[in-house]
Amino acid sequence: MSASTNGLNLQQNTSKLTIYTYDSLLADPGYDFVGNFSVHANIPRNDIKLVKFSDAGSMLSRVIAERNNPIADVIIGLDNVLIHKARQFDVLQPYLANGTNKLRSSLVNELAPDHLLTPYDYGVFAIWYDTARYNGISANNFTLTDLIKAGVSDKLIIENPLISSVGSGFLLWAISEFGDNALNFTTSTNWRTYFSQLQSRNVRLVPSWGDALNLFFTPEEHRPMMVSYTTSPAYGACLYGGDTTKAVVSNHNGTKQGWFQIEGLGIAKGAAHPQLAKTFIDWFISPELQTQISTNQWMYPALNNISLPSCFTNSTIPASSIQSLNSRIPTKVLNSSLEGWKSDWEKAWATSGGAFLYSNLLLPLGLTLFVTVIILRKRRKY
Amino acid sequence: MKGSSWFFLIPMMLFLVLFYWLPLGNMLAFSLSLPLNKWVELTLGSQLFIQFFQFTFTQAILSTLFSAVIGTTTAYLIANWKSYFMRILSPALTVPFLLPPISILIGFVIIFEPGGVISGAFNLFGFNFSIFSNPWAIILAHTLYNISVYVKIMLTYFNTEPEGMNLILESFDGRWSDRLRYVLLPHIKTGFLSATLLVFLYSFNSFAIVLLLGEVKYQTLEVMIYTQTRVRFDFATGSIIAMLQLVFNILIIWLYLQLENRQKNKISGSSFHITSPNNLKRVSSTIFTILITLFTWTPILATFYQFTRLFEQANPVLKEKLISGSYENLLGTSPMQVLINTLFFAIASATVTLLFSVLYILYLQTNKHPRFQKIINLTTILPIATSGVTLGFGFILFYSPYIDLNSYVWVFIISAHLLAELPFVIRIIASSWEYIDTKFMIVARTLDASNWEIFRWISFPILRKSFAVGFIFALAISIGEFGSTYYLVTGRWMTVAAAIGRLFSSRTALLPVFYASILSILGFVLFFVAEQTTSIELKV
Repeated sequence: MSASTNGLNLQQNTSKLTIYTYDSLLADPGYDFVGNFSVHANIPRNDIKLVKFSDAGSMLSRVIAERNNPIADVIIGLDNVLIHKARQFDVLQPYLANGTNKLRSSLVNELAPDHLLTPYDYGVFAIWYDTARYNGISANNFTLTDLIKAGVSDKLIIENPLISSVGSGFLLWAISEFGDNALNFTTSTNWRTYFSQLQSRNVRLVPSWGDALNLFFTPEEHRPMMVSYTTSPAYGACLYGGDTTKAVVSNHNGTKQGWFQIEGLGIAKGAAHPQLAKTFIDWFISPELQTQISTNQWMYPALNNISLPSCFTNSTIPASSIQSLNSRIPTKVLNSSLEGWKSDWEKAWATSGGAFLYSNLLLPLGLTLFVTVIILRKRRKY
Repeated sequence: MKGSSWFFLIPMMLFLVLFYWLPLGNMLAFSLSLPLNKWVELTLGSQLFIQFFQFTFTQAILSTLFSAVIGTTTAYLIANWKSYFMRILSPALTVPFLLPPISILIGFVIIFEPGGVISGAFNLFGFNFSIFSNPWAIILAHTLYNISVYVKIMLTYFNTEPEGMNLILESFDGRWSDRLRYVLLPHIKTGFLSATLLVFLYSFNSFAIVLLLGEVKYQTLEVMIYTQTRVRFDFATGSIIAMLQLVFNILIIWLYLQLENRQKNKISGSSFHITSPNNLKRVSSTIFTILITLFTWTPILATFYQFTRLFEQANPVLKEKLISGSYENLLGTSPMQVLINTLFFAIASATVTLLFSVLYILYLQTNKHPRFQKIINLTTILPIATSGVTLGFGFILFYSPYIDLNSYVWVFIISAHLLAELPFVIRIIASSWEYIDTKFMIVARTLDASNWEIFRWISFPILRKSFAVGFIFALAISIGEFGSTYYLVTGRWMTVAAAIGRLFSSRTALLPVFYASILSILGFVLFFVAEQTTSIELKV
C-alpha cells in the first residue's frame, strides 16, 4: 500500500491521532517525527496531537488512569520493565507491525513476544559523568559499590524508580548485580542497604531523566554524574566534535556488565484511531525514522543494518561488549517481584539516616516553654 | 413563605450530595470493605506509614510553633509598640495569605538554589545546605507562608485589648506579667488557638510544598495518598490513609468550632491605648516588623526578580513562547489557554459559590429552626476537612465506572474548587448575617414583604460587602488551588498552579517563573480589592 493511498483512506476514517510519549524523545538536536509522519501519512499535521510527559513512568500512570476511556492512540516509550505494569492493567492491544521481521529478534522476544509493544530502540544503563568536573572513576574495575564512596555519592544524581523508567532500570541493575532472595543468589552487599547508604550519603534523587539532565548541566549544582546510558557521551562527541563526558558500566574481572533497556511503542487498548496508530508504528520502525535514532535519541536503533556514525561508535562502549544482566532476573520473577522491590526501595530510601520524628519537637517546644516561663516570671513595672 | 425555607438549600445540598457525600461515602465504604488485617498491617506494621505519619504531625507542630512565635510577636509589636508605617506594614504582612503556596514555593526554591545568595552564604561557612529532602526546609516554607495568618488574626485581638483593665492593673501597681496573665492572655487565647488550629490544618494537609521538596524521604499523609493512588494505583492503601487523614481533620475542625463558639462576642470595640510607647520601642518594633515583612516577602520578590532577569536575557522567540502554543507538548495546551482555564475555573466556581451563598441567606431569612441551621452549618463546613487530593481520589473512585472523567474533568475541577471555597465564603457571609437586626425582618414581614424583597432591601445592602469579600476570597482560593487540580487535570484544562507543578524541575526556565509571578500579581490584586472593600476575616 502506498503512503498516499494509505493517507487517503486514513483521512476518510480518522480525525486525529493522539500520541503519548516522554519529553526527550528524539528531542536533541531534534527530529520532527510528527511533521514527518504527517507527510508520510498524508494527513494534516494538526490532526496529530502529541502529549509529552516528564518520564515514561508518569506517562504510564496517566494511561492507566485513563484506561476506561483512553485518550491516547499510540504510547511511545514503555520499556522492558514498565511493560509488566502495562500488562497488569491491560492498557495495550497487540499489533504485529509491518517490518517487525527486520528488527533485532532478541529485542522483540525480550520486550514483548506477543507484540503488545514494538521495539524501536535500546541502550544500556550507565553512570555518565563529566570528566572535566570529576575524574575519580576507574572504568576498568568499576562496580556500583564505588558510588557510595566518600566524594563520589554527593556528586551523583539518580532517578526515582517509582516514577522513572531510568530509575527502575538503575534499581534492577543494582538488584541483578547484588542479588536477591527471589533470584536465588545473593552477594555480600544487600541492595536495600546499598540504596540506604546512597541516600544517607547525599545522592540527589529526581523524578525523571530530564530533571537529572537539567541538574547535570547546571554547574552550580555540583552534580557532574548521573544515571544515564552508555551512549550518552555520543551526544557531545557528535554535536560538538568532542566531549568531556564518559560512561561506565559494572566491570567484573574484565567483563563489562549492564542492564539493557529496550524501548517500545504500542497501541492503547480501546484507542479511537487504531488504523492510524498501526500506520504510525509501521513508520516508526522503518528506516526513515530508525536512521534518526542514534543522533537524536542517542540510543541504538532497533532495526537491523542501520549504520551508526563514527562519532557515535568511537565515543560509546559497544553494546556487544557488555554482558546483559537482564537474564539474571527471569521475566516471571520480575513480574512478581517488581512492585515489592519498589516498596523495599522506598522503605530503604525513606528510612535511611533516621527519620524526622517526634524527638525533633523536644528542643523547639522546650525552648518555647522556657521563654514563656521567663516572660511570665519577669518582674517589670510599666 | 412558611415551610419553604428548605427549597433554597436544594441546589447546594444536591451539589454536596453529588460531589462530596457520595464520593466520600463511597470511599469510606470501600475502605471499610477491606479486610481488617489490611488496616492493621498498614497502621501498625508498615514502618513507612508510621514514619510518614509521625513526620506529618511533627512538621505540622513545628511549622505551627514557628509561625505562632514569629506571627504573634510581630502582631503584638505592631499593635502595642506602635510600629511606624503600620498602614503599609500591616497589610503587607498579611498579603502572603492570599498568595498560592505553589508560587511561594517557586520563590523559596529560587532563593535557596545552589549558586544563590543564601546557599552561597551557607557554603562560605562550610555548610552544604540543600532544600530537597530536608525537613527543616519544608518547615521553613510552611512558616514563611503561615506567619501572615497569625499576624492577621492576632492583630485583631491585640488591637482590641481591653485597655481599661490595664489601667486598673496599673493603678494597683500590677506587673507586666500580671497584665499578660490576667488581661492579655485571656483576651487573645481563643484567637490564638483558632489561628493555631488553622495553621496546623494547613501544614498537616500540606501537599505542593512536601511533594516537591520532600521527594521520597519526607511525605505527609496527603502526599502518601497521592503517591499510592496516582503513582502506584494502590487504591486500598490510599483509601485507608485518606480516611485516617479525614478523621484527624474533622477532629481539628470540631475543635475549631468549639473555640469559635466561645469566641463569639469577645471582640468588641477597639483599644484606645492611653499609654504610648516610647520612640525606642517604636523604632525597634518597626525594624523588627520590616525584617519579618522582608522575610515573608523574599520568595515573592525573588520570583519577580528571577522573572525580570530571565525575561531580559531571553531572546524574542522565547518571549513569544510565553503566550504562544510552543509549550503545548509539555502542558497539553498553550500557555494562553492555561491562563484562560485558570480564570474560567475561578470565575465559574466563585460565581456558583456566591449563588449558593445568596440562596443560603434566603434560607436563613425564612428558617425558624435553629437546630437545623446548626446542622446545615456543619454540613457546609465539613468539606474543609477534606483535602484536595482526597477529593480528587474520591471523584475517580466513585465516578470513573460510570462517567468518562476525561471529558468532564472541568466539571470535577470546578466542583473541587467549589468545595474548597464554599465553607470559607458561607462562613464569611453567615458571620455578617448574625449582625443583622432581626427587627428589620419582622417589620418587613408585617408589611407583607416577600422573602426576595427582604433580601433585596434589607439583607443584601447590609451583606453586600461580605458578598464581595466572599467572592474575592473564592477567586483567590480557586486561582491557587493545587491539590485536586494537580490530581485530576488533563492537558486541555491545565491551570497555572498545576502547570507550575508540572514544570517545577525547570524552575529556572522562564515559563514557571512567569506563571508564579502572575499568580502573585493576581493574589495582590485580589487582596487589594478585598482590603478596599472591607477587612478579610480568616475563618474556616
